[in-house]
Amino acid sequence: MVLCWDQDAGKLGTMVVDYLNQQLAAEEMGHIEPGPFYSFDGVRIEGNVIQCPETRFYICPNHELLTVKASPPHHQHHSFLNTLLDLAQHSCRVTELYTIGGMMSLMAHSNPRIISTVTNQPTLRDELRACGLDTGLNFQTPFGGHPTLNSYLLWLAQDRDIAGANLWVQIPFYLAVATDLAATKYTLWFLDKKLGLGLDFTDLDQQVDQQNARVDQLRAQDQEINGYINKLENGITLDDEENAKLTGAVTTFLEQIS
Amino acid sequence: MMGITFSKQPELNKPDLIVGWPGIGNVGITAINTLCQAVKAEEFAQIEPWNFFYPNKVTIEDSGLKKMEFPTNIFYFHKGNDRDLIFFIGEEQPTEGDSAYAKGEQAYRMANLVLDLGQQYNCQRVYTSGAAVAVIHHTTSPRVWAAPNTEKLIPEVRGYQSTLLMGDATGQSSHGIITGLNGVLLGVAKMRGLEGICLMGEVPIYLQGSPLPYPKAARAVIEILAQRLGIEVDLSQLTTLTEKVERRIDAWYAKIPPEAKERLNQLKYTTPIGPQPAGPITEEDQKRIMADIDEFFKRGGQE
Repeated sequence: MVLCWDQDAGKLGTMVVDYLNQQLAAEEMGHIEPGPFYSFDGVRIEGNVIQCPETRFYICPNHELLTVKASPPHHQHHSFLNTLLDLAQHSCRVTELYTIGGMMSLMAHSNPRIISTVTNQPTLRDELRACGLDTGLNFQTPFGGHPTLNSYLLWLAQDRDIAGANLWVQIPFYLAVATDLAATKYTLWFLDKKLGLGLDFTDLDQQVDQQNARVDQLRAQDQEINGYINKLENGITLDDEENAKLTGAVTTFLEQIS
Repeated sequence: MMGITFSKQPELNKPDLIVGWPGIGNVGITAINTLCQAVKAEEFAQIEPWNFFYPNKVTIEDSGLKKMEFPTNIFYFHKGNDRDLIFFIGEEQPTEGDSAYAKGEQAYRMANLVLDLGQQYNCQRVYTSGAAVAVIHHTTSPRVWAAPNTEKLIPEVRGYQSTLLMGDATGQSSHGIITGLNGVLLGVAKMRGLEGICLMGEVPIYLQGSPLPYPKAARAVIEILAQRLGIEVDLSQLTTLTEKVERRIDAWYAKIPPEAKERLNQLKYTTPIGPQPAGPITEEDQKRIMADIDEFFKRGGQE
């Protein structure tokens, strides 16, 4: 099972699952009734369109793969995650799950992406290390913070003996509002290798090249932005104002062109 | 019992149930914790947290998920010579949205679970504790405001030392509101025919938003409960904490702009015991004090 949450950094999870669904001709097989899990005290508008929280399951024929596009619940998280796992385990006999999450990074877009992983079983961790993923993550929630929904899902899956991994993919912070196609490609490349899906990346490779070319175009037009990206490429951190300027310029430029 | 896990099944004789949750100044939880430790009460049950709380801590080691922790909600028991006691200490109040206080169906379910256990042991009386935001100065001794859940208990409460019935304290002719589970629990107890009293230690109005604990108010509550329940309490740790907190409050107070401080200084002259007089602090003064304090914090605590 591959699961993503909406409103992810760089739209990473949504991009990955949409790509899987399209390439593997996935068919929708069910959804979770939203009633008890969301506040419904208003609606979110995205791309000028009203959105409603939803969690949909898709089955990819001939590939033993279930994909899930989910909206993070507002209430009853334990019940929501168990409903999700009930369907995965009992209706689809899921034995392994991957969650996709974007992790904002101070890196430049021209640097290679890294996937850090958290797993609930040592054997899966060893397999992922062999695939080249970063398996040296150490973390403890600071006082006043909360674990992510992905960690919570992984913990509940562990109780059901479902092996699981959270895939945390680095997203350059200035691509977090737009889309990070290179991170999407790298995540899909990993899933293809691990799950043997036989994906065709021709289209996506072209899109990654186009996005890089667009950022290069912006760099050529705007020396200030070019200077910021140069600094990041050389491992120099920007201040808050520079971060905001860079993010704003890249987001606006990519939106205009698309 | 659904939703509660037992590690022991003690035999208890009509215990009192004493309950604490976090709130303003951590008054209630400090008081109940201190009493619980004073009698060396033993843990015997806990409410399963997942239906009420989101986890509060994850531990990841070398990319392996090691531990997921939730806010705890633990019952302790004490078999005394004269009376048995059950303590319940909740690390968080179950909430809906961003509120720090229990609200909605979750609050009602939590209150019922706590009382289910109490009644399983034939509990007859419930005490809760929290903070009363009062127009007092931090150098004065806090009083305790009390709210019983039956008229029958009013004479008893009037006999407690340094204690006011809540309606008398607020000067609102026997009205008032207790926010969160300290109040809800006693409302549900009333519906079940169980006696209950909420004891609230006074916290100065200008410290209600402070992240600091206010142990002086907890101490006022402890003194009453310890006497009622026949508990001997060593208050030395609480005294040390009180001194530490007072030093931090004094340091903060020294930085307050002179005009605001002048208004706050007037609070030193409110009556320590008995209903509060209309002066020297009027409602208008209270608004000005809070506006001054808000403005002070907005400036990052700089004069």
